[in-house]
Amino acid sequence: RKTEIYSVELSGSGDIEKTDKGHDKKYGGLKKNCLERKTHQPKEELKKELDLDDHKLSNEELETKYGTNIITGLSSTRAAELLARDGPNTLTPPKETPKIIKFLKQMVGGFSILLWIGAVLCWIAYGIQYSDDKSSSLDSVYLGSVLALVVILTGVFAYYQEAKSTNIMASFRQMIPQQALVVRDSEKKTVPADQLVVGDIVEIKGGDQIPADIRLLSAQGCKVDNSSLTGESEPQPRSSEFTHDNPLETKNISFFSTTCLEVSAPPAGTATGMVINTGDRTVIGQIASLASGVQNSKTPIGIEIEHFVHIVAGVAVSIGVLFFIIAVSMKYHVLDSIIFLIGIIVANVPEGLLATVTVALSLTAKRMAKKNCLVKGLEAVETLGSTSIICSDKTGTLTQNRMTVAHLWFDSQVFVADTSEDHSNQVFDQSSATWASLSKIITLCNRAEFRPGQESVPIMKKAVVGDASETALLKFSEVILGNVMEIRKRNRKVAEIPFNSTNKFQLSIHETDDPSDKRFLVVMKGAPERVLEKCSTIMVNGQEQPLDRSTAKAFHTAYMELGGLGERVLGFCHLYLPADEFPATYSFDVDTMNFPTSNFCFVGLLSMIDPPRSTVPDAVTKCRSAGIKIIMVTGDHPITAKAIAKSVGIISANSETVEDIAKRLNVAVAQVNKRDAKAAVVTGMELKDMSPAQLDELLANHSEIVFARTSPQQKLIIVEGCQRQDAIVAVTGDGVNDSPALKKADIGIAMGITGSDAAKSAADMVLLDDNFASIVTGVEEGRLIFDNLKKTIAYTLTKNIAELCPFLIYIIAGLPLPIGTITILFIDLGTDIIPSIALAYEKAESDIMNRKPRHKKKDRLVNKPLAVYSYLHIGLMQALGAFVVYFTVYAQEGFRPSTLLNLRVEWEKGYVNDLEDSYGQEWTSYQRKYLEWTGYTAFFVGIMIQQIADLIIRKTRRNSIFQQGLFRNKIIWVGIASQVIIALILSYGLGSIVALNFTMLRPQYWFVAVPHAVLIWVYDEVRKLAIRLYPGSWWDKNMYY
Amino acid sequence: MLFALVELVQLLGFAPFEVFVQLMALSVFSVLLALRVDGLAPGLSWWNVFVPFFAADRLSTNFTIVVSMRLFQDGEKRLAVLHLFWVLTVLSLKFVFEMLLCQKLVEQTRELWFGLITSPVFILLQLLMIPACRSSLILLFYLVFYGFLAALFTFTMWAMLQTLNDEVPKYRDQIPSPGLMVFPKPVTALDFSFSVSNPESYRGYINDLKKFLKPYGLEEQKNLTDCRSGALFEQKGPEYTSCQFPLVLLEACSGVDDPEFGYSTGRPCILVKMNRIIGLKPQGEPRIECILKGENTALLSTYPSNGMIDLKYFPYYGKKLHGSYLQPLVAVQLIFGNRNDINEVTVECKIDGSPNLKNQDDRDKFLGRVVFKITMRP
Repeated sequence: RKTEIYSVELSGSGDIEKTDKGHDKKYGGLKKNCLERKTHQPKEELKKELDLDDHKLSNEELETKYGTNIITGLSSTRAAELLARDGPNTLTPPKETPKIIKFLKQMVGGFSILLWIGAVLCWIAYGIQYSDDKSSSLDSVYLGSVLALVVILTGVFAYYQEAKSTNIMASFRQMIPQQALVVRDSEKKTVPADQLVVGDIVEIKGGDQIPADIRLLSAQGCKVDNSSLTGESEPQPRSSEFTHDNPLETKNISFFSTTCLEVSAPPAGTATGMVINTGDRTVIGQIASLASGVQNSKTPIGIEIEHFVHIVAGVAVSIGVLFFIIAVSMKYHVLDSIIFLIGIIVANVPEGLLATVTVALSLTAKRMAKKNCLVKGLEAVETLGSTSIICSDKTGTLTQNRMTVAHLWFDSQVFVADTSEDHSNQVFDQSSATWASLSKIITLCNRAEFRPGQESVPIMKKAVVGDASETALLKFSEVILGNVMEIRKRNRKVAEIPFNSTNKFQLSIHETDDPSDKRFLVVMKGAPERVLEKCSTIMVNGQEQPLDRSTAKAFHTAYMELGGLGERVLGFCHLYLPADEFPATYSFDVDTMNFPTSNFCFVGLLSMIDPPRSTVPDAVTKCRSAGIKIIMVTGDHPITAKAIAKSVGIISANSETVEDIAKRLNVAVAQVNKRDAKAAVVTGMELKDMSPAQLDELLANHSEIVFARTSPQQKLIIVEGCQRQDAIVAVTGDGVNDSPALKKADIGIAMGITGSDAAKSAADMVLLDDNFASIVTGVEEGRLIFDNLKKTIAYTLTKNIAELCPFLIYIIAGLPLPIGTITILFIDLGTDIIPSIALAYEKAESDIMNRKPRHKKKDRLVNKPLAVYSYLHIGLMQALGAFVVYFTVYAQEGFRPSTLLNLRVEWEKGYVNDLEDSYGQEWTSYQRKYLEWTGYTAFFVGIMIQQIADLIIRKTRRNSIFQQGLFRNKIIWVGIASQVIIALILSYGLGSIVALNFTMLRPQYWFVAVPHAVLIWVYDEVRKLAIRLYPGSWWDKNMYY
Repeated sequence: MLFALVELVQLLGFAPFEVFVQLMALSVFSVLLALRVDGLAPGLSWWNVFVPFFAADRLSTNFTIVVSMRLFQDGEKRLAVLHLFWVLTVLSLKFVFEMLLCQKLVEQTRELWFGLITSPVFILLQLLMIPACRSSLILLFYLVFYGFLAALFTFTMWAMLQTLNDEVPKYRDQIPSPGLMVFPKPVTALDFSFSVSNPESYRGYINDLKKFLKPYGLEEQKNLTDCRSGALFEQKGPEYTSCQFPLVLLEACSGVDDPEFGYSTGRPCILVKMNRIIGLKPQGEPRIECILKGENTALLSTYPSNGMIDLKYFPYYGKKLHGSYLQPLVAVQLIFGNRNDINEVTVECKIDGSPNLKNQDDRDKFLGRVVFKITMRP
């Protein structure tokens, strides 16, 4: 049944390779194939698609085909040649945009294009000036160059930040270089797995990852875990025999990136294989390339930023053009009008903002990385915050990904075992003699072993050779009984029958550790019903009793109960062979079974489950209260899935599925109103028959959904279904097969430990500890950064009005220019940068995990109230305050406001050197220019002082500053200090540099705007108070951003 | 009608009855107005003409108050207050407009310009926009908010202006040293160009000079003091007088003998003046020295001789105290040798002889100096 899945994927990728259709079509193909699955594609077609016949060839044919020798391996030179021909044995990461394109994108993205236009206009203006008058000043050239420099610097900065976060990811990927043991030049060598070439002879030990697609040449008792390929954790046996025409089903081929669980028997516990496909030509490589066909959609924050850029650019351009027209119709020279236009654009564009946003995001990314969420793209940092649906994998994410003994049944009683991560607290009653027998069976009838050399490792973390159930039993007994290996040594094994699917039991014969007791002990474990069949007695309180009907009934009840919990149940029984019939020298033959296999004594049941991680239930509750719907998508059995879902809270304790209601009311399932059921458990088979509309209905009507027995393609369908509901979907996954869904999701979350490389490269985020709880942290950080970005943007937008008004007033009222373009740049890129970053450190105002995720289309980053409040309220107040400072400076130097009106034309004439002020004094043009620069400085200081108030008020959006704590965020104060210091340096330190247009300002002018700053603070406190007092009111709607 | 009654009622917030009363008032008013304008009723004053309106307003006010009280008692407190506030605002604006108009008609005073009189109407129209718009509350809010901001700004500006001295600016640090400037005032740059044979080409210059020298006329200088030369003329106030600057000092460039300032004869005059700076006290013996730069195709003479600037014209006490102040001038006359050629000379003038008057500054090309070019065509 698994093979069909691959075949679908393979043909899917085949489609892509053959025709380069749009990704929609690829999807279509995927879905279609998925549906076709039920029609059972003919196997011939598969073979044709997977052009692989190596499994049919004999060893000799293989040798000739690949020019190799099974004993001596390839020669190093031949290997090098092949490596040069085929390339390294790694999956090509999805094509990345070339660095130069990325860089250029940063150069023209966002506001850059506006600033480029500004710069070009500057140069054109200078060109025109120069052709008129050779001695014209270089101001426009300076400005143009500064603008270009600003764009380039911010572009380089953003690129650097982006590259840095990508590098983190890259370094992470290279953390564990894989090694392979290969035979070359008749020698065994350890080489990095990416150096393997076709024809190499590799040796594989239990626990190794298969380094390439290999054809097994010799293997015994080899089992592989194909979960990274199929998502199913059932171990698959592998041997060197050709068992099936289909290369995917035959036993003698194992695939790249799957894990070899165990290899038993000679030679030296290894399996030998020949590499037949490397890198992207491997099966997994072909599946992985499917993921690259799925286009990455824009991140929610990316969309928000674009929206915001559009708003600001729209405002800038429309005001600019409007005033250009006004200026031209006011008979200004066209050249002057162009310069006004540039001024307006520069004033309106928050040059530093995008860089600030990048920094804020990367700060959060760093913080998240510390909490084990590694984010690949910076913008994905926020995505988790807006996530409304999480499609979570079960195994490994919600659960510990290891079988653990959960319940025991003996003496007609169910005991609960501790399933927490360290097993430390096994409290069930261990005094019964039955337990002694049971524990002996558990210990002895077990082939799993600890790997040597792990003495210092805690038991639960020790690596084990063996399958999942045996591992669980081994660890369980090791915890309770102590040294299992020692016990086994004392009870020497004389024969064993390993577990197989026909027998459904495992049996071994041991000598007892009691020297006086010469009997052999036969221990058996297996499927409970099979084990019970072989029993005639049952042990109760250490006494053997005949197995009568009532005890059999008790057994069945217990079996059903444990099975109903979704647990894997094993039965245990034993038999002491009479010493006279089976003396110590007796030779047991497992093939002829020359020993009894019935009339055993039943000892007990033991059930195992992959238990949920202990942090998960809490995390699920948090997600719930944060309004995030969690959907479990698993390949596992519905009963197990439901049990785990219930135990972690994905299905809450009091909600029922349709089936539950039907059972409770004792009616047919069809009669139950589907809307009554909060929860739903849907299997892959049911999903297959659903139309998209039905799926939508299912997703919309049930708040708790578990998808079980789903295929990887169905995961993709589920994700798409969720996205149709306007939800922002997070998907967790670890297998290669998950990568299309991870890519399709708004944010794909891969597991850092168990995750495959393909999953990691398709994902936007990697959970380093594979822990679902880390997602909650991610959500919290994402929401916080969204809120804080709002604050940052509001802070940054505010002063734009204060920068813009001077130009408008200058054009309309003819005042000497209050603030120069370069001065504006010093605010945008100087004093304002650190404070706006400081807002990213602001703590949440209220419990952000208690509100609903934001709606993709309704809760915008920059909404109307934010823009209006920033521009038309605080911005305007700032402008007024700054104008007061400006007028004060001019008035105290001799130009009263009334004189200033319409003075512009005379003021700017370079040859008018006797301009009279309000007191009859006459000014040369340079003296006026200097005064103008003092005006710039004054206006600059005015804005800066009020930006301090603006910074403080932006700390909160609803709460009072005093509720939030004025001093809690220390970085804010660093920001304020930086603002003041930069301004002081500009005024007093660089006041003598002509090109910067700063002058030394009298100390008292620094305080003129303080009352306005206080007013801003008071006004905002009033606003917040009213919002808090009248939630939902007109004021709240219009004033809360 | 432009409006249906219902719409009008809705827009104005008036009851139909009030609208009726106002319309009645209007009709009575129009009759009275006609009588008054045609002079048919000699005893009718403008106030009487406006009485119907005043009466209507009064009636409306009473009516509104009663209606609001009723509403208030009915529990519609919010509505009552809003209604009262609104109608009273409208009525009072209307009333103010009527009062002002009436007063204007009665007194014909110039201070009451029509802009002021109609301002209540403008405000009223703006207010009427509010109910006209759906988001009335927002408009109202912005009206109040911006009104508040405007008032605040006005107040701070007023407070700032209070700190200023009417006579002397608070700081004079940015103009420590005077600049030099020439007359006639150049049109584009410091570049004078004219043709001797074409009076139109220099008419502008002559007019400019004449205009500039007008305050220096004998009549204008009659009341000024004849100060002692060679020393600063410091005054303690409260009355400040100014020193005479006899035009005779400018000799050939005084415009007395030659009203064309030498332009017609190829001997153009340019006046050089030092910028006024309050409280400036030059040290030493300041004079303006002018030299020709480059090739000497002309002779240059300065009047008063040597370009002397007498200290008695300093210090200057500002426009308000020292309104009659006359700046000392220095004239530069260029005498071109060959009047049939195109003559082009560059003249540089500098303040000299005073240690506290700078004439050399890298950035300010006009601080204590001035360079200009004269092009004379035949």
